[in-house]
This record gives sequence, C-alpha cells and structure tokens, in this order.
Amino acid sequence: MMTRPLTGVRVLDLTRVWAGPLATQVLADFGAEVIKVEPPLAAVPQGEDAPGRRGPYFNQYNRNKLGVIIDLAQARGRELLLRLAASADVVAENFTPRVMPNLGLSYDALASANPRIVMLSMPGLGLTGPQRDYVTWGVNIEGLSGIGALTGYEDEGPLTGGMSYGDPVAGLHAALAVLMALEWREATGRGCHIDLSQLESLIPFLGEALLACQMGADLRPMGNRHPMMAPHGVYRCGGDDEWIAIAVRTDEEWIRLCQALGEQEWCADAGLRTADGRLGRQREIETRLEKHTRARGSVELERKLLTAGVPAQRLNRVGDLFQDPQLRARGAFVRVEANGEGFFPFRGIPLRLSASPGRIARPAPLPGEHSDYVFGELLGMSPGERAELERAGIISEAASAS
Amino acid sequence: MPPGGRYSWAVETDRGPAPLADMRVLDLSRHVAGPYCTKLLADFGADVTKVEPPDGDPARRYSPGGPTAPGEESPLFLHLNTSKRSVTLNLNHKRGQGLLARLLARSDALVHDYAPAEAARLGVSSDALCQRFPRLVVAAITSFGLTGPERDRPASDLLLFARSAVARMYGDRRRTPLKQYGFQAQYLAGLTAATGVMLALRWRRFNGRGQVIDVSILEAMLQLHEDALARHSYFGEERDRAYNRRPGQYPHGFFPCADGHVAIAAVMPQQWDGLALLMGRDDWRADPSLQTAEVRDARAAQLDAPLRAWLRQNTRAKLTEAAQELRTAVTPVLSPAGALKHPQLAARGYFDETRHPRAGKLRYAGLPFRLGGFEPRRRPAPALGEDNDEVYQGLLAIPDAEMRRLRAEGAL
Repeated sequence: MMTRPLTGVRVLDLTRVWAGPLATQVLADFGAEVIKVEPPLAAVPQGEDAPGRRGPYFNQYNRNKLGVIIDLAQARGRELLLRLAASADVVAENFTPRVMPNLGLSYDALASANPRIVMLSMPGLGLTGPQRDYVTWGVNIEGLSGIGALTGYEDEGPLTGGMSYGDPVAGLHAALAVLMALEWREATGRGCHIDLSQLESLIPFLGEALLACQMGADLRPMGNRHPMMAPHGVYRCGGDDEWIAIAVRTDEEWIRLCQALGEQEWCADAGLRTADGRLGRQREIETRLEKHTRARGSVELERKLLTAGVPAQRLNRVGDLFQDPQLRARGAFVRVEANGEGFFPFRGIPLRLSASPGRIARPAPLPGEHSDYVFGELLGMSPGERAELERAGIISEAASAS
Repeated sequence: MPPGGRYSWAVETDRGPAPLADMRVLDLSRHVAGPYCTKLLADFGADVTKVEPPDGDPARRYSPGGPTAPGEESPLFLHLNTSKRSVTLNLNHKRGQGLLARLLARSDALVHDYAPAEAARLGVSSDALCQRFPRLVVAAITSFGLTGPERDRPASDLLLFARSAVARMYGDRRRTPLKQYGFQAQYLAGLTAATGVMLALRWRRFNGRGQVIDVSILEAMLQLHEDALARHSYFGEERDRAYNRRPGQYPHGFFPCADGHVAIAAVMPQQWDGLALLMGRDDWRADPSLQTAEVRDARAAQLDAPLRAWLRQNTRAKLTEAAQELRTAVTPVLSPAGALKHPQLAARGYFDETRHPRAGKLRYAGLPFRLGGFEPRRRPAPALGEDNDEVYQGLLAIPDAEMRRLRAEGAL
C-alpha cells in the first residue's frame, strides 16, 4: 500500500468555521486520520450549512475527515475525548483561550493522558497577554495587523475586502506548525502546545513594512501601484465591469506597450523611457492608458499585449476559474460528491507532491457518520454502552443510525 | 568546523535542539515566495544556505518606499532572510554548476523559483535533480506551476490577483478592483511550499526517497476564496468586490471613528446586541427583525447612518474596550507603526529586536506561531556572499588556491 506523508497520524479536530478546519484539511489531504468532533446538533446554528444538510462551506473545508458528535459540555463527554486523546497525535481547537481549560481539556490535562500529544490552539490574539480573551474575527485581525491600513485606493483610508483574510493565513500557518511539532517530537519524544495567535501569523506577511516604517518610510495605500514599476495597475476595458491588469517591469516592456498600442508620442518621449520618469508621471500615463483599454475588450487586449511581450492579465471572475485553461490542465478542481446532493467541482489540493500526492478520499462527514469506527473500534464501546450515552445526550450517532 | 558540522548560530533550546535542527536547505529562490518558505524553516532551526547570483537577490534593492539608495539596506531583504547564510554562485558559469551539485549532495531540500524553461537552462530542472539526488526534496515555486500550457508565462503579484479573481474581492464596485498591499500572493505560496517541504521530508523518513513539490502561486491563491468557489459550484453565485464590508452581513468591516478606524464584526446575535446596547439603541435590541446579520444587511441603509454617527464620536480605544467588555468583536485598525506599539503584542514579546551590522537595531516580525517553549535566536540577514568562506572552504573543503581561481573566473 502506498503510504501518505501523514499515514498513521490521528488528529482530533474541535475547530470550526474556516481557519481551523483549513489547517486540519491540509493534514487530512495528506493522509492524517482527522476525526472532527462536533457538538450536538441543537448547539449548532441552523441554515444552509446546518449539519443535516452540509452546504458548500462545510463541504469545502471538511473533506477527508471523519465525523462524530460528542457533547464536551458534559463531564462524560470530556472523558470520551480524553480517551480518544490517549491514542491521538494531535488535538486541534480554535476556541477563545479560556474554553479548553474551563472544559478540563487544557494542554496539561491532554498531555497527562498522552505526553506525545501535540495540541494546536489558535485564538485570535494568542493564549497569553492582557487581551487574550478579546473576541476577534478575521476582519479584526486584518485591521490589527497593519495590512488593512496599507491596502486601498491612493489617498484613502484603510480597506478590507469581502473575506476574512486573517483566517486562511492563520490556518495554513497552523498546518505547518503541526508538522514542525511532529518533527520536533521525533527528536524529543514529547509533544508540545502550539500557541498560534492569528494576529501574529499575519504580521510576517507585511514584515517589510514594519521594518520600513522604522527606517523612516511613510507608507500609505497606493492602490495597485508599485513603488518601483510604472505603469502598474488595473484598467477598465470595454464591456460591463471588465478590467485588465498591466505590469510594466522593465523599460523594454514599456516600449513594447507603446508599440502595441500605437502610441508613437510615448515611444518618442525620452522622459518616459526610465522607471523613474514614468513613476513621476503616473497619473498622466494611467489616464491615457485607460483611454486605450476602454476602447478594447479585455480578452482581445490581453492577447494583443501578451503577444507583444507585455505582462498583462484580464481580471477573472470566480466563475472563470473553473474554465481557466491552466487550472484545468493541472486538474486544480476536483469533482466531489456532496452527501447525496450530487457531484460538485471543489478546489483541489494546491500542494503537489510528485511521489506522495494528497488525495481526496471522501466528502465531508455527515453528523456522527463515523460513530461505529470511533466509538466501536477505537474506543471498544459496546452497542449497549453507546445507546446509553446516546440517551444521556453525551454522543449522537445521527447519521450513522439513519 | 568539520565538514557537515553544525553552524555556529544554530539554535539550541532548553529542550535540546531546535525543532528543525537536523534539516539542511539550499535556497536558490529570489524575491519573496521562496525566501519566505526558507525563512519559516530557518527561524525554526533549519540550516538554510541562500545561494545568490553575483549581483544578489533582487529583493536587496527593493523597499516599499521605492528603490533602496546605495548603501541602504532593503527592509524586504532584512525581513525575509533572517537566520540564513548567503553564498554567491554563478549558475551561468560551468564551474558554478559543479559547486551547486556539491552543495546539493549535502542538502535535504532545495527551494527554487525558476519556471520550467529557465530551470532547464540553469541545470535545475526538477526531474533531472531527482534522478541525480534521489533523496533530495525539490520545492519549485512558480507562478503557474511546472506543467500546463502557461507554465512559462510571466506574472507578478498584481497579475496573479487578477488571474485568481481575488482582485474582484477588494475595492469599490464603481472603481478599479484592487490588490492587497505588498506581496500577499507570494507570501501565501511560500507558506504553502514550507508545508510541502515538511510533508516531503516526513515521507522520506519512512520511504527513503525525495520528490518534487510543485507549488503554483495561482493555485495557492485559490485558498483565499473562502466559500466563493464552492458557492459558485453549488449555486452559480458570483462574488463581487466589497468596499470595507462583507457582502450579506451587517455590520462587518472597517468603519471610521473619531481617531481613525475600527474593525467591527457584529454578526452573531450576542455581538449585535452588545453593539446596540453600547449605542443606547434599545429599539434595535428589541426589534426581532434585526436579529440576523443577513436581514440587517438588507436594511443597512437604515442602520448605517446612526451607527457611523455614533462611531465618529468615539475613539478606537474607547470603542474597543467597551465592546470587548460585552464580547463584541470591535478592535482598532492599526498602521504598521501602531502594530509595533500594540500592548498585546508587546506583552507577548512578539517583536524580535535584532541588530544588523549596517541597518542597526530594528524590531522584526516575530514567529508566526510558538512551539512549546521554543525561543529562536535569529541571525540578522546576511550580506551578499558573507558566508562564502565558511561554506565553500568549511563545508566543501575547497583549498585557498582554488577559491582564488573560482573568484577570479567569476564562478562565485
């Protein structure tokens, strides 16, 4: 049998929403046995992604995982978790810092059940410090990190977009942290507690700005402009909300752009032949450039500029990605069955390992779907014992029973 | 130092060696993506040698404020190359290739960022390397990946924001779509690649073989689409750019206040109730039709003006403190200078004060996560070729006379 990088690694996954489930998804994609431990159905908000239905959000981030329902608010539920932790390698959670200790599931408690356990905690602002209990969502992390203040139109205030940027950055760092902790365990024989502050994991993505401002730079949002290249922007094309991105990296590319657009005057303008000259006259260039782009369709213009050797890219919409020739050729989307609702294309595994590739083995679990394996096989519980715990509301085998 | 011995600044901890103390990485990458990948490994104890062309990594000349002046250090380079050593090597020189092979024979992993055509020209095509060094893990970080019709197409952060549709998420519906600040696409790809290196080395432990890690920056960016791809797939929904607020939920975004901006995510019922309580809007609290973020979004026109008027009378600090008392997600929007002074980060000792021989003492972004009690001792970014002697003479045991010749011939 072909082994995966994480074959034999068992993860108990208590995480919710985006950052945490993305972290454990990376582990599951590469062969870890990730057991998603969910609260009883009544404790979960209903809606499109409600447990019984498993909509796009849940299915996107929980593929390859197994699912059980355990009520950790009850002492016997916590006992079950500790029993599972004894045979697990990783426990992952993204609650606020007081939740796990309050449940009696602190790192010390888990480590006394299993000294080799790696515990991943990923609260917004970290496990320690005066603001550790602050409630933060992705947008708060974006604002605190400094990245929001540097993103936006020139001469305007800070900008956030429609997504919680702090989440994927934290989630992907968290997967890496677990892999490093497992590597460290090979040398020390012991697990450790990973304290991942979502804020602290985003700040390195703008580490150069932190240093630049200490070195005297006054940084502000600059739209799509670049400090050393011009023109460098997104320009409106003909049609409804159609745009093209153009990045002129060298003086040679500038001349090619002028020739492609038939701009004899620009070609002849010696002041524009250097990046410095163009950076000083950006507004003028952009205004005139957009007259050219508005007169053309984005697809046609992209082809024309690429042929001329000018880096250009039409702005895709989300739907265009499924038809993107490069992404299709590489199989970037995979059709996964979504719990009886049919097959849908999902984002595949962006990390391609030639000898031990990731794989999508199963869709996201239905609530309690893997009760037989987890409670029966792993914990060796009898049918009677399981039925009693179900009656007491400690576990729920909702899907496996149906 | 004995050949293959540990380098002088390798980190030790009270638990013994650093997490990645046994890992040796050769880094041919430039700019941001590859260097961020190897920075992550180096800061956790891997032994990373950065191999630069004779004129250096272009990042040495970049600053977010414009090109670096002569003699000035690049903040980008300083940030991305902590804990690494630098050697120069001319891959276009035939003896440069021989030296590269000798370095690779002593490495666990190679990170590079050459598109396939360029990689083949420089003698670092992935398949050839794997055949020659069967235990080597090769991570190639390229804009579009190592395969497919557009594998050699030029790109940049801006073009990848355009291609990946992430630019469709940022900006005003009536104005130009925006990319985020800086090099987000490249950082994301570097992070993804570091995970790949860890996975491949773990697999090698059990199987004895190296392999190729093919990271496309474009594909790495698809990880930013939260549920937009899945929702398009299920419902055919198209996402449009959001101007400081999240579509479909209110209030969720950046809002101006008396002394700047705050980030607010009052989405859950308890958070909305907290916000309305602070505003003294008992009518909002009592209104059952305002209890979900989706309904509030539909009525945002009615809610927005009073909320903004109230925010403008209050400072970031006051709003944050009062809202957090009620467990409502309100926090200040900070500039990088503000982040450097943030009390929570200070209390956790996040920023790492490191003295660089020319740039002086600066506070660097700390580690993105803490592993147990591991505390790194980071070396500042190296000068160009600073470690030529240590690596070529120490590690490869090249005699003085040959070093002189290599230098004279331009191989280094």
